[in-house]
Amino acid sequence: METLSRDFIARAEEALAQPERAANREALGVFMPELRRAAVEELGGRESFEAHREHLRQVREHSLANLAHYLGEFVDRARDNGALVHFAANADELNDRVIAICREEKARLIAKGKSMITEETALNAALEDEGFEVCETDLGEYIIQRAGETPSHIVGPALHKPVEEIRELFLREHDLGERELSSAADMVAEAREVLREKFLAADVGIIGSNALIAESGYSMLVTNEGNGDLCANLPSTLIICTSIDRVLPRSADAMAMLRLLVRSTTGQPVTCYTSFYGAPRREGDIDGPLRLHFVLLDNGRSDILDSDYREMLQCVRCGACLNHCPVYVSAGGHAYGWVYPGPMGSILTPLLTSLDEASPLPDACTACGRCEEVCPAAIPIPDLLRDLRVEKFEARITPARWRLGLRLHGWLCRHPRLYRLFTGLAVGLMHRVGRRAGTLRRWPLAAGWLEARDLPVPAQARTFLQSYRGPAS
Amino acid sequence: MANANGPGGEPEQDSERNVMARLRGIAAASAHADAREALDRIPPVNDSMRAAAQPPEISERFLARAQKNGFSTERVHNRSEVVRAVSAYVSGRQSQRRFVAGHDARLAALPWRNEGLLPRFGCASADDLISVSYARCGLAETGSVCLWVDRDNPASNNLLCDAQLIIVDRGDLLERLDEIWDEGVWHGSGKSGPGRGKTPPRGVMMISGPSSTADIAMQLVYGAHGPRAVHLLLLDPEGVSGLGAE
Repeated sequence: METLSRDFIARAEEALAQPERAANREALGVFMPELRRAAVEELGGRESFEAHREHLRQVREHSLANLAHYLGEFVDRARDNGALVHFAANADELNDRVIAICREEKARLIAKGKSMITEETALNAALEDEGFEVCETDLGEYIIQRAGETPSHIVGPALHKPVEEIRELFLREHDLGERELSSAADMVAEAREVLREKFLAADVGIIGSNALIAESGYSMLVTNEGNGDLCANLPSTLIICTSIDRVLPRSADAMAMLRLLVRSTTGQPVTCYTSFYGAPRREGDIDGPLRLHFVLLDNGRSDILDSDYREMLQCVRCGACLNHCPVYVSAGGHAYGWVYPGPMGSILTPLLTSLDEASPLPDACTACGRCEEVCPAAIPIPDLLRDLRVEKFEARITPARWRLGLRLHGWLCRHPRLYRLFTGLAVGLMHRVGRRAGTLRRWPLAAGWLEARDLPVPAQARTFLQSYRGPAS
Repeated sequence: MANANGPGGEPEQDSERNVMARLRGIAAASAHADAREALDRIPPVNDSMRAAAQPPEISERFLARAQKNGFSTERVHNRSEVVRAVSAYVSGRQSQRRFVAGHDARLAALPWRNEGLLPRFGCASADDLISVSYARCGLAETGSVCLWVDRDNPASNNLLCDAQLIIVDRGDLLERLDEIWDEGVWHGSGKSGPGRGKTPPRGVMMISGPSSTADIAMQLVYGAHGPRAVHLLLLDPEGVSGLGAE
């Protein structure tokens, strides 16, 4: 998928100018955190959540520290189970493997479940270029596929779309005669009817994986719709596309992850379907795929493992950091310009593409810390974003003007007397200039910042430190 | 096939070798000499759910949670009541007396004829409206039922019909998610489910409500792709009728 992250600011402005979509995002930013909060409460409250996530953090950290061991174990078990396991070093290799399998199967129609990995590799476009028909079957993914858009959220890819837009899309795309489609239920029923035909006719099913379990060779699939399970069971060939960092040692670890993943994602204790697939149809079975392939993607993850950003690989893709991020809720997922939006995307995108291509993303953060607070894998997201900003500065990607300003600020901070003198003068000046109006609309070097904000004038001509030390200072 | 591992051939083997070699190189600094032993040292969660494994009785907690998930539930006390409950459910949804069921011996042994029901044993097709399945176990923690995906319970029977009835034995209720992987449950030696030796099934499905979606304007709608309704029958020979049919 093409990276458009450089245009974050312009794309965010575009998103802010769409009132209906902005209202959808605002609702998401209120509704989803509330669902999660209630689910955490049901788990036993904050203390219990902390205990669960500390356990999960340790398990994920351990899995990554021993990734070669557990990935090797998974591959052995999966092959023992009769699955075929392939590795892909990069996006092109994954696409080539999948195309080769589909050719071998003489496939025509491919039914796809939700998979961020195949979004990352732009598999749909690669398959369509080879003449295969690809049908996304997760309702949200299906909607954006028909609309020719990209996902705006890693869990709810079409949540940005107002109901009326979806209604018009279905009326236009489905040749089903005159009908009202007056409710979400009507649209879901129509999509069910259309997609059922696709499931039944598909030659190959492609799904993602929420976790690979080393001790059993199973892949865990977490969905509410059941579309992933239909893709996994009806076509004669199943391809599970996932990345090398998804491995967990034990089945119990997958359950520990599930407890936090679903609560953090939708606020449910568990999704309608949690499935574990590890083998093709066995002797005596009367349904299921005849062949099961795993395609395991690296695409820069081993580089992340070997870097100071390793903790980012603990991400379970729940989307909680998106739902709680004021920048994501305002700007929307498309502003981020690649597959992964929000706080986790602002780290993953520079790491998986390049810091240069994704340069505005580490700055798309108010440092409020909500993402870290709710992350079920306890990833220190604000710290990692700050580290990326440091790298950006050191690589001279940050504009020269900003670098100069930051250098000056840094120099001033290292000279406390001068710092106090300078801030004292600035506060005094601000107080004198703005005390009548109470706010400042203009100030040297802050034109951009003040474009959409008023700066309250200090109530007195003293800095905090001067007030703290009292009149004698 | 191009090689024993499917299409791809030599370059594909190179990818595997390269990725694994890279991971081994990176892991050299952080990996444990005995990974499993280090893993076992990670303390388990001493969470409130273990304490919650108290009264009310497990079946009450299971049914209460299941109802919250969107299942309708019913407690039955013997095999005749199972058949009567299935009959009432089938009559309420369609004019025919037909349904599809997997080859689970427990389903085959039920007295369907007593109620004039006509089960077809096999795999569901797109034309089947109702399926009946027998769960391997139920989970009080989440109000879920688990079905091994095999000849006894084809996955299609969990996915293709408009409605599904799932029977679960009171003796097969488990407290926590993790317990479905316990040896006894896995190999069928400790619970009433039929054991199938040491070969694991090709899949395990944990069902926790009717198929649903909230992808359109965050409105919850049942019946996204799978069953629009799922009715649970808890077969509890000794229990009294508590949380009843909805």
